[in-house]
Amino acid sequence: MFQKMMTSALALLSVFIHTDSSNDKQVKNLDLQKVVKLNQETKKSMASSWIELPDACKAKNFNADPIIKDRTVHSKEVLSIFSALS
Amino acid sequence: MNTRLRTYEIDEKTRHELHDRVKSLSQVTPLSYDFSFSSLLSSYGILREVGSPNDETARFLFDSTTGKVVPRSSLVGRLVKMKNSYGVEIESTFSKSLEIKAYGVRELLHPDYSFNPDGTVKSLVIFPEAVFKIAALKGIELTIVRDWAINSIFGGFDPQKEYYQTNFWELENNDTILFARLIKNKQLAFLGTHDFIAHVANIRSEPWEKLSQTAQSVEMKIKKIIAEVEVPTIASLILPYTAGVILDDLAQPPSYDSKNHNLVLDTVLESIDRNDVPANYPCTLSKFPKTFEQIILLSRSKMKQDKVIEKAKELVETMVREIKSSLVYEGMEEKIGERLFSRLLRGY
Repeated sequence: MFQKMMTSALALLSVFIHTDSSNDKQVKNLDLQKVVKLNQETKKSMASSWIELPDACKAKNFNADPIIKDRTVHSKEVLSIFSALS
Repeated sequence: MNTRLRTYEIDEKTRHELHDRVKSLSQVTPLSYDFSFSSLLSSYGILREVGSPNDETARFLFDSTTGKVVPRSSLVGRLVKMKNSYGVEIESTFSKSLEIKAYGVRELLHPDYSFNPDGTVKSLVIFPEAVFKIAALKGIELTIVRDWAINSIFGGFDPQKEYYQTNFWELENNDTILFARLIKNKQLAFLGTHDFIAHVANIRSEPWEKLSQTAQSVEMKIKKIIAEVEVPTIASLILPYTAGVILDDLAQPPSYDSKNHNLVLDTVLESIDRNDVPANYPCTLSKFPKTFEQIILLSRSKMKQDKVIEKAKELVETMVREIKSSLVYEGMEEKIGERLFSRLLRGY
């Protein structure tokens, strides 16, 4: 009985090793459609955790707070640019 | 409304024509290619965001009398035309006397139409052709990025909705590479309010040499890990996305030369370089890693640099573990189940 249990345990271990190494071989030939499908599933399963992220941490966010006042004046060069438009 | 400026309405036909024209462009096209077309496109892109959750100017517009930020819902916009130049006018129905509490925006506004006699702002009148030329004074070229324009201005994406849609597109399309390429070449997109206020307002030329080199490094390292993979899995794009958010910050004048941003970015790039999350893992990701937010906040913090380096390493390692722990290998569970069952049967 013990011997059978050990055999089963070893078999289980070999399944992990075999499956892992066979996955490495499969990875190189991964079907494009399969990756696209996997990514679609990722989008669905990740949706709620993505939405929970604050917008401030996502791309296209202005990382700045309002300042006290800006009284920048147009330089001569900039004024010429606007004159040329008019 | 400034009555000296003519309103220009885009009808459906013009919109289609603009869309078709954008589709025919190469990926990155300077606005100077055709100012009439590009200024209409950029103005339209800005207009679509005005008053929406995606309007990045909104939180910087204050009523000069009360000192309070004007309600986002009070912001309205229209396209305007002056000779052959198209522009966009943004105003608030709440206040005709605005203070813009962000550096450098005033310089980008048309001096004849935007200001009250006391110097406050009555409306933001923006002409992309002028903005292009002002940025050019600093050595930066403003561009139309075809895929971004298609996605944000003409896509099914509704700018009135939350950020979620645009931003996820940026993650799954590995946008960081394209963004890094622009910055490397001292270019910026000019398609919406983010570009206007976050990148072009208060633009300075001096930091761009180093910024360009940083961008080159980002581009190179990401390209390396996806080189042999036709479509990377989304899990593998999270580190590049993280690098992209930090690089976007670095390309904003308030964060130019930020040491902490650079330190955290270096740590993220090291992880990418090590291929910690390979591009070809056959898997789905069950959740977006929570550590991402902490990494971004760390880059924006005022923490001492030696502590930042240590913390960045810890957080990036944690994020990689978090990504890997939520991976679900496709087919793995079924295979183990079958084999275990058959082995167990044989064993007994």
